[in-house]
Amino acid sequence: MSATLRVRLKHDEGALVRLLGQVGRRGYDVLGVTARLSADGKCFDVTVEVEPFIPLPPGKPRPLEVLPALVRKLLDVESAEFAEALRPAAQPPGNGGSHEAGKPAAKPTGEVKWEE
Amino acid sequence: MPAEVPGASVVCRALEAEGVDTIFGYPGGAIMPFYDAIVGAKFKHILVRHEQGAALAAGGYARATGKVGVCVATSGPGTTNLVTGIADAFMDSAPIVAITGQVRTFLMGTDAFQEIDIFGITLPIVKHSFLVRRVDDIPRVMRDAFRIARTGRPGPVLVDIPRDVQEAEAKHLKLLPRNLDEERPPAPSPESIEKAARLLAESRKPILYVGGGVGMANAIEEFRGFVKAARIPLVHTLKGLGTLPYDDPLFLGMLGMHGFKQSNLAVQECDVLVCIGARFDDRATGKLAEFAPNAKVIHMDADPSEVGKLRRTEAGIVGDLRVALRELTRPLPQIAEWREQCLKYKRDYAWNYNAPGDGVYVPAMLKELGDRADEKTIITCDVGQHQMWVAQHYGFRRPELHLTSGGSGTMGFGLPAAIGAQLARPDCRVICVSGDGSIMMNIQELATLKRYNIPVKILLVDNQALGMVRQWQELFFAKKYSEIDLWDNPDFVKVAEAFGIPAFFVRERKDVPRAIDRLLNERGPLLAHVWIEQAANVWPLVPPAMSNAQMMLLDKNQK
Repeated sequence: MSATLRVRLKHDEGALVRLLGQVGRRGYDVLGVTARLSADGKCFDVTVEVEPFIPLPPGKPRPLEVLPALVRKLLDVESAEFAEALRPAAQPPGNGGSHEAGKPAAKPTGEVKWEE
Repeated sequence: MPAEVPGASVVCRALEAEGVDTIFGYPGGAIMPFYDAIVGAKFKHILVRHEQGAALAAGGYARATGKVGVCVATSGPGTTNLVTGIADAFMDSAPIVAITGQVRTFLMGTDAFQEIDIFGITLPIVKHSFLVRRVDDIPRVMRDAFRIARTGRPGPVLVDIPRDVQEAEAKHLKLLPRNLDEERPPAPSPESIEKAARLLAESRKPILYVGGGVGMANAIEEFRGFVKAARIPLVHTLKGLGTLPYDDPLFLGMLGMHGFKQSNLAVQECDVLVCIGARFDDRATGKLAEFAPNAKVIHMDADPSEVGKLRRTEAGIVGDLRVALRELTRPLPQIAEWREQCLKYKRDYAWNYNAPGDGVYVPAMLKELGDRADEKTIITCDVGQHQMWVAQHYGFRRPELHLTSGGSGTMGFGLPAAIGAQLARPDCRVICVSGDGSIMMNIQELATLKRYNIPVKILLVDNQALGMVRQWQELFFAKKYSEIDLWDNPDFVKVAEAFGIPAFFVRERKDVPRAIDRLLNERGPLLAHVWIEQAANVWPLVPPAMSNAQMMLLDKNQK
């Protein structure tokens, strides 16, 4: 599932590269980018189309939900929001386990096995 | 400040204004104006023997105090040598500022001599970075660099300053005062606290999973108050050790790959997992999908991007841990039975230190060291088996007494970090526990110990192998040993003595008490070279990509 992130970015040293690194090197594929400098030259309005990178099994794709918070960590970022609300299908499962987008929650077994 | 001073002097004055007392560095071409300006500065410069030592020493300084550590290097290879130390600080959220010289602005981008785009190289491993193109920007950049490094989730900040900017005359510049307001993270939302309180009130088998974030947030007292009221059993990550004193009955031990059985067992069985200042690191969780499989999660962190990153969170509390912990402090009378169950696990799986043989048994040696050391003893570690033995057996009373490279796992961390810690905390005794692989990564810093007579003690555990790799090859690669044999190590006692550091051998178990006497009581730097069997392994062990429920407990001494 892809999503479009809208980012307001200060026109600071390396800000665009830093933004794309924060997205593309931390679990998400960058599918497209547009960037436009504001009239006063102080900010970029950036849209980044992304989808979670699909790792080899048993890895699971990173949840899209945390991406805005990940991007807002950057000091150059003034705001970051998805252009549209994410569809419920991308929500992580219920009790236990890591995120597994689109799949129902695994039922916990409650069993703990020890190998000695 | 005089009417006109070079940019390099402005940098120095800014460091003084930030209260910096010690910096670690190595001079070279593009940073020469700065080295000219520091003569007579109010802070002390420590000349290391490799820039990596400077960055790691700054990290040690920061970890031991919570204050910002500072390292300095010249452009090109000087800066690239800092990279490992910057990455180490990033992975463990240690506040450092790295000041680097750069070639003159008109040469940038031309492949000039010793030109490296260190700004670009370090983008993924810094909290923020600056390339200073105008001398007028220096006061603002320096103030912001320190504020960014130490606030919120701390981390490294790079300040790259071209040589011509260092040389340019700054006119009528005023240093900006330190802004200590707004340095605490915002208070968490009342709704998130309420939700977490409800989960805790409904829980029957809660566990606290506590990381280094509690210490970094200066929330130790609030955390201990919370534990005292709620009396929830708890496990620590490697970085969280000491958040609750190791001898508190509720402390079960470290969790994860080399965690104790009672810790992993309790986490696997809990119904509410309260993650405080930790980040579901793979070394802590094992196979993530099977980690605490029955638990609802409360996750408290200063960094909003950590909450929900790897594990679904029922109650995410983002913001100031002090506030969150105070708000959640209340008794949980319904968990008495579970608490007793956890304490029984702890009794049942208590470590047996009576290993057979006459050779040095490292867990017992480290336990004795921990038992005899006081609360002003800082341990720094290198990386490998000895690092895990320290975490398991030393017994920490405060997190800032345990300086270890957790996220990055940087071999060579221990000695420079010990130098930084000792200079930051001259009132403390600092002991570096190292291995024969790790010590060689930054052994040149013995010269720094000697030059400044820094009284760091080194406990070098030598099995003539890269022990952790050897252990994995034994267990998971069918004993096909590949490039782990260090049979030709130098004589470390002679090496230390060649640097002017007194040193001695420890060959047998009976020699350990006397060795610990010397480490705890002698003045000045000292190295104890301890011989151990190559076959010694770290137990327990969760095999890679397996659940924490599937621990290997092959030490015949243990249950």
